[in-house]
This record gives sequence, structure tokens and C-alpha cells, in this order.
Amino acid sequence: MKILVVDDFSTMRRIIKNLLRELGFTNTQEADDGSTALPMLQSGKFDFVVTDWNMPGMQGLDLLKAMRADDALKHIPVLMVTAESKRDQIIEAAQAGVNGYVVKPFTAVTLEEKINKIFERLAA
Amino acid sequence: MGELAQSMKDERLELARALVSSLEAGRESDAAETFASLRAIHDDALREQTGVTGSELHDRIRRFLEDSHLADIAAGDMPDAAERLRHVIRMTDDAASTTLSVVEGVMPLAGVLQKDSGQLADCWERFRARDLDVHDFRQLSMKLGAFLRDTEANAGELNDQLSRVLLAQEYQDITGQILQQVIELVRDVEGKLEHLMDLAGARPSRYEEQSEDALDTHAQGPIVPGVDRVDSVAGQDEVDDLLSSLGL
Repeated sequence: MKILVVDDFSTMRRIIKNLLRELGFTNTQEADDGSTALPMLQSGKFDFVVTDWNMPGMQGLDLLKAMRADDALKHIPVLMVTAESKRDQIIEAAQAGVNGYVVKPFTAVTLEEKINKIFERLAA
Repeated sequence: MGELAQSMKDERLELARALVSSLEAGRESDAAETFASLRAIHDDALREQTGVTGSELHDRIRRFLEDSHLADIAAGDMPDAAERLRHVIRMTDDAASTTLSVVEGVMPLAGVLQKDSGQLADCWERFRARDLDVHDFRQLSMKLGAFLRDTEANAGELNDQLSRVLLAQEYQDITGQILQQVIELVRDVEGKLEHLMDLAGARPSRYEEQSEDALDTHAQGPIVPGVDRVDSVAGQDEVDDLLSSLGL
């Protein structure tokens, strides 16, 4: 399982990477915004994306939309982990095809739950 | 002092004396006329300095104050920014407390590990030197078994606690975003104040009215309790409810 973690704050990338490692996911890579993430996704075989929303350059929502519009990437599940908590934003992310949405501040348990739920759904 | 400035000063003095004597004599209309002349001289002087008359300047400043929403910023955005900064203090305080509590909690575990392993190492050396009788060896064997079980449990505890420290660092991302919002406000106010100074002086303005971006679903950063009054979710449970109502 190869996972791409996209967040502009390196602290948050490290936290998420460490939590993922605790959950048994050791093959992770990092990108600091959507425009860095997109070429990585296109060239590497990633199975899962965890992304922030609010980033300079290309935002998480635009990354999600770009992935869903790309035949090679549209199947990759995306979990959004973000401080953006307006209802309209969550609805827009859902409409754009997000697979899970975690609001910051979050707990390790929440992250695990959402990841498990996404894979359960994909397996079903 | 230049000739022109001297003659202007003389003229103003003369008019001022005339104003006083008109007022003393109760000649109101003369006084009003003299006052108007004085004001015209003042306006001329101002126009020489800034290219605008006093009343034009007044109008421009008033218009700018209205357009720039400086009053709104002073009444709303500034107190909001103060509350945002207080929220940052609270978050950094919480994160520091969590981290310190965890460190205080796990340090004794390291102490126990050090003490027990030291005692066992001493015993082990005596065993290697064939200095242990059967009774002592039995003791060593029991201690070793207990030590290994304790270490397993303590390492698990250590791992859990270190995960708490890890997650506590989340504040850096959220406070960073909040500070960014405040920096943007400070920049905005700085630009507006500069423009205000430019209006009063001859310096060309670098101020550009910022478009009031439609905020709808653009990224806005973290919601600060008591400051942001938008239709937002209060926590992960509400996100889950909203998503499940959308079939996710």
C-alpha cells in the first residue's frame, strides 16, 4: 500500500506519516501542495491519498477534482484531513468525490476509523 | 524665510488683527468675511503642499474611510484578530501541557528500566563468573522473567504516550493558519494606513482596493470559536452525520 500525504505544514505531514506507520502503513511519500502531488501521482503507483485542503499553490479540493478528471487517477481513494469545517465545504468535497473527511484537530482513532471505512467500502 | 512666506505671514497677521477687532466691535459680517479670507490663505498654502484644498482633502479622506471599511475593521476585525491570537495562545498552551504531562508520566518508566536492568546485569555477571548458587540462580531466573514481561508492557505504554506527544504537535498547523489570517489583516490595515498618509501628502498611492472575494467554498482556514460565526460543523461527529446524509 503506497500512500501520498499532501499538506503544506511539514509538522502535519510528519504526524500523519507517523500515525499511518502505527497503523501498519510504512510506504508513504509527501507533497506540500496539489501541484507537487499531481505529477507524483501520475508517475508513481499510489494506492491512497491523504490531503489537506488549504494550501498555497494548488489546493486540496482542486487536487481532488484534477484526480477525478484523470482516468489514470480517478480510482484512487482520497481522504481529506483539514481544518476547513464549513458545511458547504464538506458538501462540495463530497460532490467532488472525496472518500472521507476528517476535521482538524483529530485523533489517531478517528484517522484509523476513516481509513478502515474507506477500504471496507472499496472491498465491498 | 523666503520673501513669499514672509508676505503671507504678514497678510495673515493683518487679517487676524482685523478679525479680532471686528469681533470686539461686534461686526459679525466683517468678522465672517475676514475669517473666510484667512481660510482661503490657509487652503492656498495647503494646495501648494498637497495639490488639493482643505475641503477637497477632507472629502477624499472621508470617502476613503468609507470605501476602505476602516471603521468596520476597527470595530470588528481587530477584536476578532485579538480573539484569534488568544486562541493560538490556548492551543499552544494545551499542546505544551499535553507534551509535558506525557514526558513527566513516562520518565519514571525509563528510571525503572534503568534500575532493573542494572540489577540484572550485576546478577548476570556473577552467574557468568560462576558465583551463583542454586538459590541465587532461581532468583535471577524469576527476576529475568518478570523484567522481560514488565519491559514489554512498559514499551507498549511508552509507545502509546509518545503517540500522544506526536498528535499534540497538530497545533502547529492550525495555529500557523490562524496566524496567517491575522498577518493578512495586519497587511491590509498597513496598506490602508499608508494610503491615508498618501492622501494627506504628495506621495503617489500604492494602495489598491482589495476585491471582496466571494468566500463561499474557498479555503478559509480553521474556525476560531467565538470569532467565526459561519455555518460550520462542531466536530468529527457532525462531519460524519453530514457525510452519511449525503450517502458517504
